[in-house]
Amino acid sequence: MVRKATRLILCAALLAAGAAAEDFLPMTPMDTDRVPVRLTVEGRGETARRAREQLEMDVSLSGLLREAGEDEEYAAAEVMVSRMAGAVSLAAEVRAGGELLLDRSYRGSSVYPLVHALTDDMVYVLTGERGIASTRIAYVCRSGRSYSLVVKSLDPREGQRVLSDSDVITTPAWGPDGNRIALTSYRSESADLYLYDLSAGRATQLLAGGGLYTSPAWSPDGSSIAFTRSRDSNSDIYLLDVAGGEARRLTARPSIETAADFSPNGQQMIFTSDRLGFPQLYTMDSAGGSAVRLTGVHRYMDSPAWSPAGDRIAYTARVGGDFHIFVMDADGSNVRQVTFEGSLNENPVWSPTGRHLAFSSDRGGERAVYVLELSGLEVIRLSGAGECYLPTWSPLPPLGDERHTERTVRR
Amino acid sequence: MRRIAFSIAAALALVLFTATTGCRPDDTRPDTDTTAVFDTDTLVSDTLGTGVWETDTVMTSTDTLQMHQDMLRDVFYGFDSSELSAAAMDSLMHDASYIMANRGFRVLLEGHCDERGTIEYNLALGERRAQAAYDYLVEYGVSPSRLQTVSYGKERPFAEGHTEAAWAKNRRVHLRVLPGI
Repeated sequence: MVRKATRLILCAALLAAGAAAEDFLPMTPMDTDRVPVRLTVEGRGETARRAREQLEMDVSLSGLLREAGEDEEYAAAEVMVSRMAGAVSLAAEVRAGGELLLDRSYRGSSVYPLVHALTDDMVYVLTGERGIASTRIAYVCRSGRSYSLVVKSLDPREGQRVLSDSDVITTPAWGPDGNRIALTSYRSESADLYLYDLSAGRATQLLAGGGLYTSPAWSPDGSSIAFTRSRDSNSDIYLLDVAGGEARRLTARPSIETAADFSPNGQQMIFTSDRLGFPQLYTMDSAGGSAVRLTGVHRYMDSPAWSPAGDRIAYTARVGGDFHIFVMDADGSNVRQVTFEGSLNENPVWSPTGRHLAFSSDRGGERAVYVLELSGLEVIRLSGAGECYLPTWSPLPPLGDERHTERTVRR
Repeated sequence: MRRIAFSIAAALALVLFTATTGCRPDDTRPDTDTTAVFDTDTLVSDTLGTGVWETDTVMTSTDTLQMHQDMLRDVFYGFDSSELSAAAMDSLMHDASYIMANRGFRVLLEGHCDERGTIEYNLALGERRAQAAYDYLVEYGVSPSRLQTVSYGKERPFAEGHTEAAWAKNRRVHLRVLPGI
């Protein structure tokens, strides 16, 4: 009888979370729709303190869970942190309404990936949705004439400089296979396309010669890359088969066409065009063809990003003399501003679950990369000291039985 | 050592070039009202530049390249614009005369933008700026074979800082001297 009641409460909570997911982009915070979890982290020393702090941050950034207040208890997570022979171990139990939903231990050399894995498991058992705690974000950092591609996890660990050069690295795009990042490099006095292989640690040239190649965007199946070719004062969008072959031209106008991004089913593209004399957003069939202008709300719009569910478009627009991030429905309606600080907010990219945006902003003085959780409009700074911009979000790690029955997490 | 290697490479390039074309390239090209169609890169027109000895081109050193670099003037643009102002045309006229009167180098026209625009659109806009300078130089008589364009958008600013003074310095086409003919 008690168990049955518990199930009912659980169902109600899941329904509430589901309803919140329908409209997770309000203009005012709606933290009350998150599932409250009481967090108890035990263990001694610095490692336990870090685990506690990171778990709080992961839960807060999830947008789906929140730390429970004093007098409320729906779900509870008890985590025991220990250190043995140089390895960190987390033993976690997650209960909701008295029922044990997760009993798992995580072991690895650093505490952070373990907390991320635990948070993502917790999000999954409590809401049925995927979490983003284990994902990573890559971006470009510049220091004078030195450029780097940096890969950063969502925690205080320093970002890893995976690629550095004395010439421009720009417009990185993380591929759907999770292992390759397409980018533009100026190392041969022109803008060429490269593929950086994360596991091999090597950048190989994909396309060079006959113009400038920038702004690569992966098709959702990872088979092709849309990009911008600039030459003779003109910029157009082309499509390249990653396996090889000739690039195919998708737009053919004297105006600037650039910054293409695919719809999640791969059948459409959104891009920037200044055919009216100023940059606006258009959609077209991925095979090319006629384009439709989405909205005339702003006079200067660029860097569109199609949400993973296909329902929304994030972009940069000029308001007054400043640039801010906006989100609209995929048909151009329901335009909402989501950044309000700084004067240069740029290049929004969606998290793979569509609940967050990463973007660059000068709100802290220099340009840095920030992550915005959309239901609470909570913003955290991701990149450390130095000028960093052009974020690109990794895909989710594969969800399989293996990942959720694996008792040891390595990194 | 590097200089010797470079001289050999330059000499080889010259031999190859002489073998394939039989004459050195000229910076001038026919007037635009000429009706016949010419290969503008190789034809000698009736407006002649200053002659130089072919051997001069072999001796290009990094010092010489730096000297050329110091002689060229960058071109500046207005906000969100790729139009050439009177001052910009003056600079380009000076540059064109210098490039045509001197050999042994090529020029990369780098389009740059200030930070008050988005990265991707600026990359395309910088190309328009570079092309505007290119068109002017070619119209003036510089051989297209000595010019190349690239856009850096706002990715490699000349001046750091977030003031109008810095922005004005970054809205430019930089003429970068490269080794070549």
